[in-house]
Amino acid sequence: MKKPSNLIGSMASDSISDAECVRRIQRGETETFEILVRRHEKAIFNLVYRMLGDYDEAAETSQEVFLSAYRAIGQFRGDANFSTWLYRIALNQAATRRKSAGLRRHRLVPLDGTDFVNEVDLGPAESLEKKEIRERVQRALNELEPEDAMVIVLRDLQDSAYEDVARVLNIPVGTVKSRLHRARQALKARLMAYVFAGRKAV
Amino acid sequence: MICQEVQLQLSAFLEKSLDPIRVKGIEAHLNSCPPCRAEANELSDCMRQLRELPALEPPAGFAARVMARVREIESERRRQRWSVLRLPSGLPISAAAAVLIAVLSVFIYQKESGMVPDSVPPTGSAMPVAQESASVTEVAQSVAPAASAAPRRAAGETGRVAEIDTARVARASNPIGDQGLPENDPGIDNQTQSPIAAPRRAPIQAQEVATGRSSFRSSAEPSGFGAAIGALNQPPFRSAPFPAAERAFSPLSEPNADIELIVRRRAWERRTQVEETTEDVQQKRSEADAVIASAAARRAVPAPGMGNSSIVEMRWFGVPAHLYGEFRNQLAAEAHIDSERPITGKRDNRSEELLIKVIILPSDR
Repeated sequence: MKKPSNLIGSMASDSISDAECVRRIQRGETETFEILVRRHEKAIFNLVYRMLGDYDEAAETSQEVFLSAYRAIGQFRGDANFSTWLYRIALNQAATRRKSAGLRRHRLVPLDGTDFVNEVDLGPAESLEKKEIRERVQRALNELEPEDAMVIVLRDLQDSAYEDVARVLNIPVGTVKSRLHRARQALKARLMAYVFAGRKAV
Repeated sequence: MICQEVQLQLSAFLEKSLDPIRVKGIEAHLNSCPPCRAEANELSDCMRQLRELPALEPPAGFAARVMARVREIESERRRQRWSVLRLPSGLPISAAAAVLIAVLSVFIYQKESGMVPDSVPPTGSAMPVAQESASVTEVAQSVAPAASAAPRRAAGETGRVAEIDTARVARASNPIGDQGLPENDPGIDNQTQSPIAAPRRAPIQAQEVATGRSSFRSSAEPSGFGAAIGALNQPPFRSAPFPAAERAFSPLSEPNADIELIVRRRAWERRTQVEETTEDVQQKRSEADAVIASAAARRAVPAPGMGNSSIVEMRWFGVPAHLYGEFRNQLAAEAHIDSERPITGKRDNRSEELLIKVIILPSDR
């Protein structure tokens, strides 16, 4: 069970930097975009997945994220980090998708909690309880306000530095900290009811 | 430390992102306050749960699917770009072309009347328009100012005053016929015959707008004044390269010529003239710049589908002042000299090199 390491600004081992890739794509080397896709697909997919809580929706949305980035790459300037820029696109699209998905169906906030089973099956060794906890955490995340969910996903799941979170969300570091505090409190309030009740029962 | 204060900092405390002094204070408080301790434990659990969420793998073939879509986007873009350029009627770009021509005519007029220095670059928007739309645009004879006219109206004026054989060029490649150019072709040829009748000013100004797309020129026949002035391209005369700074603003600016000559091709030359091959030109001209200049000159070829006899061409030569007479004689041997106009009066200074502008008119029928 490997969690994503610090993904903002991470650069795998490829020798070509993101910035150089972007320059090449801007010069018309379309195929170079694949380097960027492969380098960031996992981070983006997980970011979107945690925002949406649905594997297929996440796959579809992630694809749109990369396509949007490709279409707009001509406007990308070197003054921002490419991954920061990409994360911003991903969070915007996830928030939009979340809104429309929430309106379209109640998939994200199922009443009985049974809808969150499309997370990968980690095998029979995985205890039912752990799986259930994960599903509930995910469900609690989906119930948060989008901006609260964003800050938690970036900081607690993606392990991004405060400064990176601030850059992606385009807010001051101080705001990141206070929003993070508020978001965690809100998440805790939702989790407490079942997670801690469950643990006490053991 | 009161509970509320502690709870506000719990998040940061649990992340270990607080400074040591505050950490000590909070630890002390938690040890003495069970409710806050419970709160801290809960929050800590919550954060651990979050961190334990596994990272998922994106679906197999994700990158390949994205790239397939990216290629679709790219080919769609290419197709659109191409279709804009190839529109047979050119309607979407005719407005742009009209603006371009208006800009050109104003610019040339101002330069002719000394209102602006030669090196003033054209308005910023002109270049992209030129690259995107025009092929070879020749703006000629008595170009009137269209300074304040709206683009559409400006196009009309330009159409009237521009040397009319250019109307065909414009229409063939990049039609603006619907914006005020004369309708009938017979009239066009008549007007072509009488550029020197224009009173007291340089009758012809040819401006070339390069497309940067060689495919547009591939089907065009060489215009072929090469043979006619070929001898003049060899020492002591040489085809003059524009100075680098001037070239930077090309094609909308040009060097200040010392003498302007207007010549007319002889009819028989059209049959016998042979365009020099690129290799020949390169061998003959020692300077790399000269090659560039010749390439630029060769760009002034008719648009696809055009004959080559109605094009106004412009060439530049650098000639030592004391050899000017000889240059002129050679030129006269190859073409009729219709007019000769000293511009800077530099001609008397025998030590200098003159920049000669030769405007080559279509031959008499």
